[in-house]
Amino acid sequence: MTAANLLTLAQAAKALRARSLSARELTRACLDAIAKAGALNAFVTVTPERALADAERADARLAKGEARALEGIPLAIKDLFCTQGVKSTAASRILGEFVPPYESTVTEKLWAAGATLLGKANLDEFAMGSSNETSAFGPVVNPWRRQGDNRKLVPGGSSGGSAAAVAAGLCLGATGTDTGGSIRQPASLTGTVGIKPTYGRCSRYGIVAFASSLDQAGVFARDVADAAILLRETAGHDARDSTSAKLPVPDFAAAVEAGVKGLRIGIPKEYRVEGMPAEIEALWRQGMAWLKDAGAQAVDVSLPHTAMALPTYYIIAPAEASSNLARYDGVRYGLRVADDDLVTQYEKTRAAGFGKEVRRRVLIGTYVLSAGYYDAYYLKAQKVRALIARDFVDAFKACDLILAPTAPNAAFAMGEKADDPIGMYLNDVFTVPANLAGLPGLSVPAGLSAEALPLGLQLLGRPFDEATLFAAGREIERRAGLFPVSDRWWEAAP
Amino acid sequence: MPAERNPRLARIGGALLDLRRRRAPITLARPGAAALSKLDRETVRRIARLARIRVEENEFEPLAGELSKILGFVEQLSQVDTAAVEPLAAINGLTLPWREDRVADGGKADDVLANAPARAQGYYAVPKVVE
Repeated sequence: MTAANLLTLAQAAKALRARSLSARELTRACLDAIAKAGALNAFVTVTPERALADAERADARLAKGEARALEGIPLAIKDLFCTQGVKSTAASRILGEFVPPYESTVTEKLWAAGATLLGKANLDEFAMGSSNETSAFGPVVNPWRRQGDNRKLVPGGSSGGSAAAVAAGLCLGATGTDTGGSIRQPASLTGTVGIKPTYGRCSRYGIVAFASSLDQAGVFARDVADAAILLRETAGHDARDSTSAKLPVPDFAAAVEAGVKGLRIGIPKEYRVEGMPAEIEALWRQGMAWLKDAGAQAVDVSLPHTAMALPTYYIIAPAEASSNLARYDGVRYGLRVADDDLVTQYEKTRAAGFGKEVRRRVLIGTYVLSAGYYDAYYLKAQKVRALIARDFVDAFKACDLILAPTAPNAAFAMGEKADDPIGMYLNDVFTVPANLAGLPGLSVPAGLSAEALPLGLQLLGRPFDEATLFAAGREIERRAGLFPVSDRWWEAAP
Repeated sequence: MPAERNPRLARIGGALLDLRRRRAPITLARPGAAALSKLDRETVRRIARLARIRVEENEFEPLAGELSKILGFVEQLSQVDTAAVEPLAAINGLTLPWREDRVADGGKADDVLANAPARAQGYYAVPKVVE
C-alpha cells in the first residue's frame, strides 16, 4: 500500500471520508517525512503542533460526516503568505522574526476548506530568483538527482520549497506565487504540476508583495486533478485586493476530464529559441502529438514581441519591487539596525536585511524610476508590455490554447548560475510573457531528460480560462504518466 | 488610428524579423552586447542613497559592473518602435472598484504595533529627527 504521505490529494480525501485513514495518521506521515528531509531544506518553519491540532479538528468533522473539500489535507504554504501567529519571513533576514497578526486570503480560504498547515516552505528571498539559492535560510535541494551523479541540483524558484515538498511527498499540495515563472519553472524542474492562474483570479491580500502588477498566487500538486481541486479552493473575489476579479470560480475539478476535442492548440514560432536543447524541442513536439491524439489540432501562431519579454520584465519587476520594498525601514516591523541618525538607520537596516539579489533589483528599480530615466526605461517597458499583451490577444483569435516548453533546461546544479544574474534570468524566457499579459499558465510534467530529470510542458490560456488548461494538461498527463521520485536518497543523508 | 493600420507598427514586425535574421533576439547564451549606459561608481552611490541602502566603499565598483550588464540587457527595448503605443495600465481590462469611504476596520493598535522594533506610549519609536 502507498504510504499515506505519497497519496494524491484526491486519493487521501477519499480514504479520509471512508475512514480507512485518519487525518491524524496522514498528518503524522507527512511530519515524519519532513523530519527525514532536513537535507532538502524545503521548509523555513515546520508547525507540528498546529498541524496535529488541525488534524484533530478534521477527524472530528470527518467522524460527524461534515467534511469540507480539503478536510484533513496537509499542505505546505510558501513563506510569502502571511499566516496569523506563524512566522512569515519571505526568506529574508529583514522579516526573519516577523509574526503577522493577520492571515492572507488564500490561506484563510484553505483553512476554511478544512486543510492542515504543516509549515512554511522555503523560497528565494522575496521571491526573487529562479533557483531558490537566494533564500536567507539556505538553498532548497531538488529531490531529483541526475542519473549516476550525486551532485545537488536546484529545484527552481522562487517557489522551490513548495515544489520540492510536493515532489518529495512531504505534503499533499502546496501554495506558490508566480511573478515571472516562480510556480511553473520549479514545477517543471521537480516533476510536479503547477498553475499560475489569471492575474486577479486569486487574492493577493496578505502575500508579501514583490511586483504587484505581475504577482499571482497559485498551487502545486502531484497531478492535474489535485491542482484543479486546490485552485478551486483558493480562487475567488476578495474586496481586500482591488485587483481581484469579480468573477465566479468554475468547478475546475469538474473540468479536468473535459478533453480537448476540436480545440486549436497554438504553437508560437518565436518560442523556438536559439540554443534550446534538442530534448526540449522533442518534448514540445511530443506534447503536440499527444494533444492531436486527443482530438485537438495544431495551428502556428506568432507572438512577435516574445524576445522583448525578458528585458521588459527586468525593468517592470525591479521598479515595482523597489517601490514595494520601501516599506522595510526598520520602523514598523522587521529588522532594525539602530543608529542615532534616522537616515543612517534606514541605510544600515536595509543593508543588513536584504541579500545580494534583492539589493541588486532594488537598485536597478530605483535607477529606472529615477528622475530623467523614468520615460526611457519604465514608460518604455510599459509600452512594450502593451505590445506583448496584444500579441496574445491576436494569437488567441486563431487558437484556444498555446503549448510551449516551461523552461529551457532541466534542473541545474547548485552554484552553476549563481554568479550570472542574466544567465539566471534566461531561465524564465518562456514563463515571463504570461505574467506580463496577465494570462493563466499551467506546467505539466511530460518527460525525462537524457540525465533522467523531469521536464515540463506549459499551456497558456485566455484570461480566466484555467478550466481549459486543466483539461489539456490532463490529456498530456494521461499520455505522459506521472513522475514520482523513485530514489528517496535524502532520507539516508546525514 | 487603429494600431493594426498604423504604418509604423507594421514596420515593427518587419524590423523585428530583420533583427531575428541578423542577431537572434533571444539567445540562451549570455548576451555580449556592451551596455549603452555604463554606470559609474558615483551613479551607484547616488542610487544607493535614493534606495536607502548602505553600500560599502569596496562594493561600488563591482556593483557598477553588475548593474551596467543588466541595464545593457534591458536596453534592447530601445529597438522597439513604440511611438504609437499607449503604455499598459490595466491587465485584462480590469478596472479598479469604488467603495464607500467608510471605516470598516480598526481599533487594533496593539496588533499594529506588535512587530515594531521599538515603541513608546502606543507609538512607533525612532531616533530624534527634529531638534
